[in-house]
Amino acid sequence: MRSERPGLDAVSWALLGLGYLLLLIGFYFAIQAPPDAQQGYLVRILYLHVAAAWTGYLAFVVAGVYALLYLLRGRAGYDRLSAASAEIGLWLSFLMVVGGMMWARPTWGVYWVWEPRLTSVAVMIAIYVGYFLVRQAIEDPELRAKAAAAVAILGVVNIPITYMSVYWWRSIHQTATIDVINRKTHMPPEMLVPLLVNLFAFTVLYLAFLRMKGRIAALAAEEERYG
Amino acid sequence: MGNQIFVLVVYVLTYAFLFGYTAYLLVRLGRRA
Repeated sequence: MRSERPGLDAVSWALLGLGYLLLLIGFYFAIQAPPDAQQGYLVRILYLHVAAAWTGYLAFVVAGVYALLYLLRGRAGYDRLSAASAEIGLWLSFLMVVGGMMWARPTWGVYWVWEPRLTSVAVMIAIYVGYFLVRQAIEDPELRAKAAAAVAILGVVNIPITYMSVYWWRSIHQTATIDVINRKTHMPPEMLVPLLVNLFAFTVLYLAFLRMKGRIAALAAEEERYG
Repeated sequence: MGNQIFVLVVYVLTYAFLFGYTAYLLVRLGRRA
């Protein structure tokens, strides 16, 4: 019996609506925020760069949690959500890297430098590109899901290394703006507000995307089963 | 002022991705209707 109904459900619509409303408010605050004393208006890149980075990490952690759930419970739905979250995380990571490069060129003089944070981000992206190569390479759904779950869990191990790289090694990348370890922020409120609003907007949009992608995958799986 | 172009590129690219990805997901969901 078909359990998934096609089309967009009310929760996804609500998440999309809220996400875009917050994105609009975030944009307004971002253009109202004053230029930084050292970076000037370049600081505005950070409002999107940090939001994309944060939700990218979140997406990879969620992919790892669903991967673990799949290994424990064996339900195909967990595998589909793990793959959906990893895909969104990969896109957000690309956005984060492009934003970072556009900031680095005028600030550091180069688009890319092999320093600890950027290198660990490159490793992170390589792991998740590998995740999708594994999914493409294996035809048997059960074996594919198990192998992919292993990569997704390996990927999560790398996330704290990426996050902490700016503290553990000598890095030219800034340390965290919102320092969750020492519970401090290194920003005045007029810059913190646009950052937080964008962070929230990206998180809500991520949830909407995850839900939509999960439903698409579930519908595709049903179609495969019932034709 | 010259640096503003970098800011513009990031905003245009990011919003284009978000709108594009939303549209892609809506179309994919719609097709299954």
